[in-house]
Amino acid sequence: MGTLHAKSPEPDEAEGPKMDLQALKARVQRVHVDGLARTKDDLVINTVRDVFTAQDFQSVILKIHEVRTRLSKLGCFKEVGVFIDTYEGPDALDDGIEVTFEVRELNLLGAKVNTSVGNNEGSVSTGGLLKNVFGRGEELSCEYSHGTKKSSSFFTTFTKPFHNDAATVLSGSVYQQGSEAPWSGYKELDRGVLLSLAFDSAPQVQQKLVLEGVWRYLSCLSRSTAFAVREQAGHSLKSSLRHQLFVDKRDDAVFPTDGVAFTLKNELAGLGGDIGFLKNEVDMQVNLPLPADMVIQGGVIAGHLLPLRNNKTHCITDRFSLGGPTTVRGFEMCGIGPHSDGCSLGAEMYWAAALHAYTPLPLLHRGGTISEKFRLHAFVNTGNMGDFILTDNFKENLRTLVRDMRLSYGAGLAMNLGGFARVELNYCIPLLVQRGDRPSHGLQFGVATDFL
Amino acid sequence: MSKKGRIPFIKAGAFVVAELDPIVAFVANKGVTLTEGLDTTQKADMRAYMSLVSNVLANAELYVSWVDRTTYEEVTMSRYGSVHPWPLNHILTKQKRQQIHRRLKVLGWKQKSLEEVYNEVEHCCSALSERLDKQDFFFGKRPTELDALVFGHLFTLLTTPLPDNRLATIVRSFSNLVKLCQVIERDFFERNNGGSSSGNGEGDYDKLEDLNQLPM
Repeated sequence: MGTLHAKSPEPDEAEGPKMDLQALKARVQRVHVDGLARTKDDLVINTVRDVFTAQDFQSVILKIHEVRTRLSKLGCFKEVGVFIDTYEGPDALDDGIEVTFEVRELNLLGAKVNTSVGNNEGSVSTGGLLKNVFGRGEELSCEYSHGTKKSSSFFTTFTKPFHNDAATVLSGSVYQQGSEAPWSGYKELDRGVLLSLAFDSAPQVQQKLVLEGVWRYLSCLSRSTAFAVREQAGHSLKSSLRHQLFVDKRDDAVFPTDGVAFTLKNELAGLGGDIGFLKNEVDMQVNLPLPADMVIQGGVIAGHLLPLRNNKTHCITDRFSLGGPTTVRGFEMCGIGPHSDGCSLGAEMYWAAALHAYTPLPLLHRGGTISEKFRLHAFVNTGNMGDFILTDNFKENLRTLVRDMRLSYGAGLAMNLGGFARVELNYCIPLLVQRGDRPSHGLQFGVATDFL
Repeated sequence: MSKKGRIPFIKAGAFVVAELDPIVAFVANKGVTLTEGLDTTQKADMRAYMSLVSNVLANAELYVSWVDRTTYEEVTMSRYGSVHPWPLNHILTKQKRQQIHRRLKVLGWKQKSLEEVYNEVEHCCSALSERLDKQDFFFGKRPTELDALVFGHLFTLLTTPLPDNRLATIVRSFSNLVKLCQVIERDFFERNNGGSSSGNGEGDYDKLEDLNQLPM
């Protein structure tokens, strides 16, 4: 927080303990911004212009606060301080005010080192970034990470914010990323370029358009990799256009008590390269508050992949997988659907639904840090996946989708991790299992940002 | 397919075994071997000839495919790259070429001229031809791994059309080697070719498109 110094404007009006700030006329006549070096004037002028519209002292203070917040969000400054003084120029009005914003710009160069563990691999990543490169909040970042399994990946990203009402951000990246899918017995090395445009089309509604070209190399992970997976190994080139829509009207990202979240993802691949498909995915979550701080949460996810009828193909990494502690609990990671020799092959269609009841920990007073961070929950998860053939008959389709579905239930403890991720420890009982599935009866542990 | 992308490979149940020696060892583990009738000297002999074939013929094939400019541009580029979409076809072919060049350089083959390579092949073939002499197979009446290896290489050389057919011409000048190829093809691969090629003259070898063993 910056410091706010305000002189009492008029001695006769400042007498009473209660002061009507709205009745106090004030006009901002001059604004100084101190400490600008690289940041461009037009950006700063556009941001601070708003304070000139204020007519009384209260709105001056509010506008200044607003402008201060916006200045610090530009991505150009690390500190913004405000001084308010009476204006004493030659053309000074009686109620003239002079505002000085004292800013400290971000250092051009930044660096970071961090370690992470995930997906059975630990990795170290180092990176450098150039902040506010061209004076309008642009950022260029490079990150290189090296994993214990000799996978190395790097990302180079340039981000250009437009500072308009829709908070448009254009970014481009060049990257290389290695990943492993032990449940399917393959590893993947991706090298690609990304161009993405993100903007808000309404409050809490974000849209994203992504153009991506990626060269993927799939190879066999172990001696026991199924032949059906080996057949799909090799090089492929995918170019795709993705559209993503996020609506989040929940009151909290990890343990919401009320509100709806909705995500829609569409991807059209096959503009160039040998991979072609149309992929659609939806994700919806509804939260209902109950008495005694209990919350009922319902979630549905579904996806559909349509191969394009031309000479393009798609392979195992494009197909959907289902099961695991973050989707249908009570199954191993990607443990639902077609398998060959213990390797998950994925499918072209899936749906899954979940019903949760959350309650705070008992015997603890409300509002404490522990009771804020933990929840007990009981759940029923269900889902199905396969290469279903759908017809025009709605009832028939419904029967196809529900036939051979999987179901599991259980209860456990969930923990809020840093306000964005969740850790769950559950006891799960799979109830409906199909041949080939890998159910996991008993304790299951999961960490993720998104849970079903 | 195989973990390191090597050929040839076989799939036996859950196992995938790649390359000749591991395959032979794998099959021997199951109690099947072609070298029962051989004594120790013959076995050592066989290994020596096998390494001769792997060293000379395999490297010569690599040389002609990847180092010789005409063959590289007219045959190898499209043969290796055509399965990949643009621009991967160029990138991957270049990568492979560099890799092969490095390997041949280490083995001392890259510095050779095409003429020297042909001479090496001729020497190797004449050594094999002498060993084979008038027998059905290299070690008498029954085929061994050496016969399989020689067949794999020679059959490919005989049946792959290249801009410069010198390799095929060299092989064809050793009539007993050609006869070995014909016998093996007739006895072991007849079903695959529908029997049409059995008993035909060696002229047919130019037309055969059975490229089940590409020189890599």
